[in-house]
Amino acid sequence: MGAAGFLMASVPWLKGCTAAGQAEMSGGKVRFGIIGPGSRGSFHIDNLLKIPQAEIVALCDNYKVNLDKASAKVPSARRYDDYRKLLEDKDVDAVVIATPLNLHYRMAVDAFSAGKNVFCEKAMAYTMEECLDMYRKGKASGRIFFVGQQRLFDPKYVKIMDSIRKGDFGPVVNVRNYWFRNNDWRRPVPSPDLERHINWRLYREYSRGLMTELACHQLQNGTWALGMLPDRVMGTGNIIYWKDGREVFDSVCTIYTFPNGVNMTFESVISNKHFGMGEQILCKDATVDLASGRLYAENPKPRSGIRQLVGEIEQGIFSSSAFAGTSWNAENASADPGIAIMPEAVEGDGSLEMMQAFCHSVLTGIQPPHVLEEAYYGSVLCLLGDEALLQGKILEFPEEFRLS
Amino acid sequence: MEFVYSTKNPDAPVAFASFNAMHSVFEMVIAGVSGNMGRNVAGKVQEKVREIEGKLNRHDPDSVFSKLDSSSGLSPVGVDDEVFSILQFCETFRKSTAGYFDIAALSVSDTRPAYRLSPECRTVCLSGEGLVLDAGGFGKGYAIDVVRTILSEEGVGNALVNFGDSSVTALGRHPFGDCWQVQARTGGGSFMLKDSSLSVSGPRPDGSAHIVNPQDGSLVGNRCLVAVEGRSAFVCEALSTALYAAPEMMRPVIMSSFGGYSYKVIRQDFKQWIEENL
Repeated sequence: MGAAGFLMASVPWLKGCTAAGQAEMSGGKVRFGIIGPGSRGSFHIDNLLKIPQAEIVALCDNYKVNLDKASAKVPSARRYDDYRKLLEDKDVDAVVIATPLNLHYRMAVDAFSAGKNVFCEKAMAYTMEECLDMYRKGKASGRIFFVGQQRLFDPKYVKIMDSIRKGDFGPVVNVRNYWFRNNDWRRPVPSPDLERHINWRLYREYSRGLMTELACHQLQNGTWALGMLPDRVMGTGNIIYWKDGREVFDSVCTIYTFPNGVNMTFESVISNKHFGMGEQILCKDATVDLASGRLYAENPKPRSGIRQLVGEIEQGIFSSSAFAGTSWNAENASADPGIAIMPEAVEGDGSLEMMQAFCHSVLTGIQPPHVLEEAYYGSVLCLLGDEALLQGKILEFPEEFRLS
Repeated sequence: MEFVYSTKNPDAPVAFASFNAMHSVFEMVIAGVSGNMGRNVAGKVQEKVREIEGKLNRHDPDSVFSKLDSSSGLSPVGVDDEVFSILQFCETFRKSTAGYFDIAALSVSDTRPAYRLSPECRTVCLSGEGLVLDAGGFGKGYAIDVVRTILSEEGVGNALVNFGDSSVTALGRHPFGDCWQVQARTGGGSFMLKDSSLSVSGPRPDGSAHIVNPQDGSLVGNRCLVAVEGRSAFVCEALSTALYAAPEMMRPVIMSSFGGYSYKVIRQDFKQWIEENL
């Protein structure tokens, strides 16, 4: 049983997004240092600039182009090209680490040593051992430690996972995750000597490829929905199309099996994008499509129109007919349209709420329960999956990586 | 056309008719009539609905709306009294709804009024190129009003008529009640109809947006439904379309011009959906 087993008992990590949480933060300010303000780091800067309780006071990157872009957004922030210098900055309360994966561990551990609160991008670290040590050092530091699993803060995920865990849709029988793109996953490189520095996601020295950059978003769905950890994983990974010197797979297919026999798949190909991104929880009585935010019944109530009135009148019954709604096409009448999970469209994917929650935790000094544990297991699962791909074996979840 | 007649309950004979029209399904329950009368009335209703569809369907090259849309305003198009009257009403509705009901909402041109009516010649002329008139926001409601008139003329006192679920009208009452009760299929709304109509506008059942905001040409992405109840299904449908597209604060302002009509914003009831389907 992982932390997911307790996750939906309440949603304390969302308190920072509530009126009460906002009141608790009133007047407070978290001074941020951004380490790695490139693609994802820049996204976090944009969100932090929307949060009244956040102030960006320092920026750090050893790639001047990214540093200049970030400085243009936050001209008042001090500039560093070495993260250790930023960690010496007494005005920095918290750091955002959005650097290549292989750097997360060292930077986070140093940040804890410097007394900083840490928000680290996912995946947590390059190896399972680093993840465990990072988790332990973060807990021991007494500082706030978040890893960027934004789905935990996405209202539609929170709502639907609550229903799944309550059994509203019957038992979970399968979890499907996939992410299909059709591009080389490269970023423009101004000079060849910067190739590995900029396209770090393609090289084993820095990254575990699709598993740490994409699967880590999605594997959490299974542990969250089922309330347990998978106990084994198998799969295959290959470079099938982008044979351009990259070292990470451009095609992966993994199966995680839970103790009750339920399978969770993660599949990714970056040479065909037709099916896009999908996250589906298959239950005995309903299917949750998280990507579209809709819920579909296995056996939907027949769309009666007013036809049922005939039978009711025959039996002398006066009842209410439920059919009024928007127009539907005659040829599509048999298809179940499902229902939207959220009554209103919700902007964003939880990333802004995640940063608000982080600010709330830093200002109140309260690490919300389970969030770090969820992130830890999400990272460990994607790393274990990559090991299974590399070894071509069925791997069991190592007992030593279960949190006590 | 599907026609069913039942006398299983001798106190309440009932007829049911259904046929496809206007890219959707027309359904009708008629209470307290003979089989012959029910079939005869249903036939007349189908014939009239088909006639209206033939005039308003802009995708039918023989329809008046298609001819109007392809005229590009270069020359007036002759129309019959029915279409002339419909277009008069539509322009009145556009003005009364601050532009949120607009049968030219799909146009690339923002010239308004989108057309000029010549009462003497019974012609219509578009106000320029790039204008498209579309009956999607009122056609079913208009047809239902006409059907109600037919039913009354034929002596039907109690009936419930449903066109694509989005437009409903009730004559008289249910054989075992004092009205006809209708609920939104998403939950969250219940209506007692008696000689009154109901229209519902919102995203398609699969959640996709399809109503265009006439103010900026964007698709309206609200997830709620807007239901309007009142005497005329034509007015109800025009109003529900307008209110769905309009900002929340504008809705009471628009409704102030339409005495005898009321509206309700329906938000889906997730729990009710689960209870009903799982």
